[in-house]
Amino acid sequence: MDSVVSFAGWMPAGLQNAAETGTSVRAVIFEDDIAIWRGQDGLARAWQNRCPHRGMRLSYGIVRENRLTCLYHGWTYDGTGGCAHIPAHPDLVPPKSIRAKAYGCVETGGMIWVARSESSEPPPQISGTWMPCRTMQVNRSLTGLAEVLGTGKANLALAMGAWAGQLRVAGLQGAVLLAVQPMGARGAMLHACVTGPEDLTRASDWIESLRGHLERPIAA
Amino acid sequence: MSPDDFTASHWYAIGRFADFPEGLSRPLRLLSQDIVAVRQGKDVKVTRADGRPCMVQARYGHVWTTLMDKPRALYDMPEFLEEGRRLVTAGAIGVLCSGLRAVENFLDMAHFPFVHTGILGIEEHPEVEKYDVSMDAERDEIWATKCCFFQPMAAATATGGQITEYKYRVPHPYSTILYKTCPIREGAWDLIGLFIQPTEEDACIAHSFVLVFDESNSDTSLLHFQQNIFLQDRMILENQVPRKLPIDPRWEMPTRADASSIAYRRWLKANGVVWGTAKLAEAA
Repeated sequence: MDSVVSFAGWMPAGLQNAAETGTSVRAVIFEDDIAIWRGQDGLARAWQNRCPHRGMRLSYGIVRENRLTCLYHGWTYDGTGGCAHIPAHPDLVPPKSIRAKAYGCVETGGMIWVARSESSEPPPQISGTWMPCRTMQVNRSLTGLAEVLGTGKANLALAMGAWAGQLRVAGLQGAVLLAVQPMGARGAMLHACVTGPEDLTRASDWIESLRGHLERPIAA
Repeated sequence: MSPDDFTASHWYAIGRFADFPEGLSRPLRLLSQDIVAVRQGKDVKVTRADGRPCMVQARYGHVWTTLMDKPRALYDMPEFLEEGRRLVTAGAIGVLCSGLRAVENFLDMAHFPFVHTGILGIEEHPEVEKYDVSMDAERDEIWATKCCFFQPMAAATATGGQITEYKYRVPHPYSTILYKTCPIREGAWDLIGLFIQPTEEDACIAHSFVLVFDESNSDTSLLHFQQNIFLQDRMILENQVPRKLPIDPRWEMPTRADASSIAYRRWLKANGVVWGTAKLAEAA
């Protein structure tokens, strides 16, 4: 398993079911504002969250077939990011230079992973079948999975890099795949997947208690 | 950052007279500065944080102030003197974007079918025909004319779809007025405008008004129409990245329909406007 998941490489950006077919959603990783959308072909794409025309967030866009239409002026981009249609000028063939900026985007371990397009890291490959369980927002800046679990427990995790790992949680039949999506000053998202439906409820309770633990006030 | 000279040299609307009840001090923001406005009899007095007074004038249904001792004159709108028009104000709406973005959005027709769907446009008629943009050098203002667009319900008085003709005027970096063919009076124009109070470089309060020939709609229905439209715009304005207006032409990619936006950005740049704009170095 590849170990580099810092933002030079691949980062968790959400559970697979956060971007359903035909929808576009927003993900923030550090300072990067990203639109993740899924076409009818089932493929998830991750793009810089601004239309090249007037900067509107593409996470508000409309997905039709395998194209994304910006909500502001209807500029429509094909699945690779190229502008295919400008409604204000229906007869115009959009110049090839108009492109949404794409990130690398793969799905593995029940989660969506993104990397900046200039990254040369190979994408993560997480073995086994994982079922999306729950995402929690944590109002605390986090610098990695070790900080989430605490130094004493960090070695419990089978690390998949600084931002994700597999661990055993008391009371669960299978393992939990836990990923941290850092959002800088906005805090972080914690994403959890489980190995089967029998663990969904307990894993959900566990991640809630994890958030409570992380958000406890710390005496100065 | 303190405002550039051009931005600082203007008058700004801070509310309607009725927004300042007798004896109540209202702390306000203008151009990243604290000011306080208080009604005293027939006047509204405005002072800076250090107690120095600001000049004040009442025009176009609003109270205007300026941070300069020698501001440039407030532009004329002779339509406010015409008989038979009604002035309806639609409130002061805070928006988390540069006021320059709000002006630019107001000048834009291409978004009507997508943002004001079923009211100012429909997706089946998205085309923006060529229109004229000119600079009035004497008054230093921008006009966009011969702007034609298919609208299913162009105004509160409209009863069906029609090609509506517009003119747009930008006489001030934070004011813009739309002249729209009046559906009930041949040859007349109805006015709709925004007086923007820029509070910060990337935040503003929009004071909007309509000045129309209309005997059938109540003030409330005109207000609801305008507020409905503006709240649809606000959702866009608060989701444009960055919140300040990029004026470097290499940053955001325009097309022919954006001729008025291009002229507006050029005009701001030519006048040395920096406050409220995004620098290319800030691009992601």
